[in-house]
Amino acid sequence: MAIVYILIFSLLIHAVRSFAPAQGLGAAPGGTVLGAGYLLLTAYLVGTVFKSIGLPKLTGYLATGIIAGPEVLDLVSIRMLDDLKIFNGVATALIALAAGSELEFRAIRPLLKPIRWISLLGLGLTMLLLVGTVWFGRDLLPFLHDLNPMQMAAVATVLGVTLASQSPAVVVALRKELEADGPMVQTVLGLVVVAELVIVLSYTLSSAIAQTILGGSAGIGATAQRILWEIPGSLVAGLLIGVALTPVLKVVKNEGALFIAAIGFLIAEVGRRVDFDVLLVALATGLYVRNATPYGHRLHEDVEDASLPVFVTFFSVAGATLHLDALRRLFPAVLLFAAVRAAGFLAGSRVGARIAGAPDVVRKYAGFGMLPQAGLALSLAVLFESQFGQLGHDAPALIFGVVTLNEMVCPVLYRIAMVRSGEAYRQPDSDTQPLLAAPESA
Amino acid sequence: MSSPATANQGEVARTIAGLVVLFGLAWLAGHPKLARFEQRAKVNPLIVTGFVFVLLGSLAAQQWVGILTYTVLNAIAPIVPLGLGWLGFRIGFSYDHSILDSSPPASGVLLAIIFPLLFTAAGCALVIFALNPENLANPDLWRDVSLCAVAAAMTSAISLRTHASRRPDVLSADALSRFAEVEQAIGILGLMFIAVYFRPTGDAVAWKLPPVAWLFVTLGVGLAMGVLAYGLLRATPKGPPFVVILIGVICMSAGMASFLRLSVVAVCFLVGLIVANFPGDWKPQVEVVLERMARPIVFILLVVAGALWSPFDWRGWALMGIFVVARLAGKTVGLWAAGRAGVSTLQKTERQAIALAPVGVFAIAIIISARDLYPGALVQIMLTAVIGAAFFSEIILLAVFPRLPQRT
Repeated sequence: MAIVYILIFSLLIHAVRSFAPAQGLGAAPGGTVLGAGYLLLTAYLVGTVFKSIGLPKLTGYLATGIIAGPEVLDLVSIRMLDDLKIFNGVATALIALAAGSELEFRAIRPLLKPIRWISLLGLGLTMLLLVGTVWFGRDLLPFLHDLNPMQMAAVATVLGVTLASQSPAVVVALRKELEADGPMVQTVLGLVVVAELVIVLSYTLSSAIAQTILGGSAGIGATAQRILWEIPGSLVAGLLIGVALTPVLKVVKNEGALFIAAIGFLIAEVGRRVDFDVLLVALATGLYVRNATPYGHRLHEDVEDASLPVFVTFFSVAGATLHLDALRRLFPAVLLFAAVRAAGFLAGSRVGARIAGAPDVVRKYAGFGMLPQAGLALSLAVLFESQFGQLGHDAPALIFGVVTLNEMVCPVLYRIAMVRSGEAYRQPDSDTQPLLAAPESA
Repeated sequence: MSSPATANQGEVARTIAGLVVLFGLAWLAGHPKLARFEQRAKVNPLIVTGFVFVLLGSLAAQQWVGILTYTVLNAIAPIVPLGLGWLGFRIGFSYDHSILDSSPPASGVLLAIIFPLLFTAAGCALVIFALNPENLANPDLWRDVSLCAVAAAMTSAISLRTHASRRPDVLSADALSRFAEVEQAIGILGLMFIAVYFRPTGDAVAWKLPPVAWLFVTLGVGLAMGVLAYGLLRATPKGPPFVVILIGVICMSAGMASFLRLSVVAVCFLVGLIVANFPGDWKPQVEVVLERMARPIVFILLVVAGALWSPFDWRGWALMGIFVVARLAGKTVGLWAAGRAGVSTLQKTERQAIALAPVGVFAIAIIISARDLYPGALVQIMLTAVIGAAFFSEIILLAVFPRLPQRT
């Protein structure tokens, strides 16, 4: 039935858009509202169809955008998409807010040793491998051809960091679905949450340096000033927002979602304009609320409630703005990067787990939990496109390609790994904590 | 250490922070606790809270404040069709079929509406054409006159309920509310017809249809989206997915209507009407979402109204004078006629209260909808007329109210 609805909505928007040309009346505010409504409804429905055939909903949202976007059916025009990009910042802030509110330092303390070693070798090695692949595979990446070696190194670092990102959301969802529990599952949860923190920090640092270098003002002073403003400034702003948010979370009981969406908008739009890093501000806010107040769980629930409409729109808009010709051109590179990334995580986690003296099951299977990618990587791709617009559409298309591939294939691999490890269906209580966080009472 | 951000970016950041504060205030003012407080205090929320938002919007639009500038208003313009759509859907959703059993006779309401409509149309036409004597044949001015007239025919249900709660001995809150509800439905019909008969022409549009065909398009869009909304909502689990579908349906309906230059309120009213009148046990969820968002959306629309309002333009105040007098005269004659014709179930004191009651948020929404549908309409001076009329009518009502005779 969902497919029938999708077809009807598509016919309706096609008919309505034939009323006025894209410019003039067709560019009126009604067009933006029409595009938002259409994408919300159809992407959500496509997501449910994808879920029913065992594919991630997020892929469904992306696929909707790609098909409905200007490059395929042109049901949603470029003008509509431009207006809907306002969701990009909010979605990025919500993703980081969720990541921060997932990470409870107290809960990961017992797993610190394997997490430290696997992160160091798995994540560190993979980042280095990916940076090296960008460097040595530059012939496959036309957008690097005009850069000098220093600029190329800077862009390679940002790409390496971005492509190494993982997905706590997918890991948590699969764990819930398979009711899995055990040392491997616990370690993987800790790993991906810590990795998210590392990725956000690394991205902020590397992108600040790269932007300065690409801007032609590669002086140490300018770079240092930028980094000193962006990173500590973002962290302090995030902490202050967290402090201000705490009493509000205490008072606002049932309607937190709307409030959190407004906070996300504030962080995204104001933060961006005063040169703060949106991810870092929101991450610091989430970390503060989770670790210094009793409202971490509440914040996470509110973020989840606020996220769905924002994410459905954000990912479908991201799909619609994808440049398919660039993706086609870069397909060999996409395969190469996905393979290098997988090899890095699998080998690095194996070695790291062995050094940490982790159980066999962690050694064998933990690497598979690091493979899935989703929201964070895509929001980084969108951020990359806005920060490094001078590189054109190829770099974001490369990231989108790798993420889409990993998003479709890797959850299946991790699912098999969980079953093989014997940790599937071992949860004593199926209603477990949704994320790596101690219960509120703990 | 100074920020590398430019001064311009600082201004944009200030604008966004100001917008977030305004919207945050709207959200806070929309809290059910404040609504309950207003009810207990028996004050009209439109005058007490609503007018504050109009003033805030007007203040934010001042050049020295620079938050709701012309550019910003254009950037947030999609809020207008979305807000109007939400309002229309909510009104339609409140028209459960059971309302027919307890409604006052439509002929009585129609008589009570037709006179203020004609009187205000005549009065506003006098002012508008006196200001633009060379444009008598300009259909745009006739459209603006029609919009003013429809806005004048509306009565604030909240104001009536507030006064009824103060004087339950002479005013029945139920009877007055039902009257205002039927009046609102007739007003929506009026909007539908204005949007159908006053349309953009020429190369700007690809569809060349006669007005009656546009009427069918309006009904078709409302009906199609209503049936689709019903089918989707009944099959969607509650929680965030339900909110996604509800927002999606309202967005798409409002977007289609606005894109086709139809009345957003009318189309979304039809969608809400259909959803409300098909069976289903999930409707309380729709009501919860609609109710919680209704007040913030109204306050945001009032902020926009305040930003569009130009209180220093004397033409608006001139129009307001005529608007108030013609409306009062029309309402009085219409209600008297309905009483004489025996088609009104209202008591004399209730008819007096309706005649004196101000226009409500819906009337302001009618004028704001003109900005969405007709760029270049006389929105600013019409807003002065409607906002000023709302305020002054409420004051007149407050002054006359204690003198209403006791029920014997």
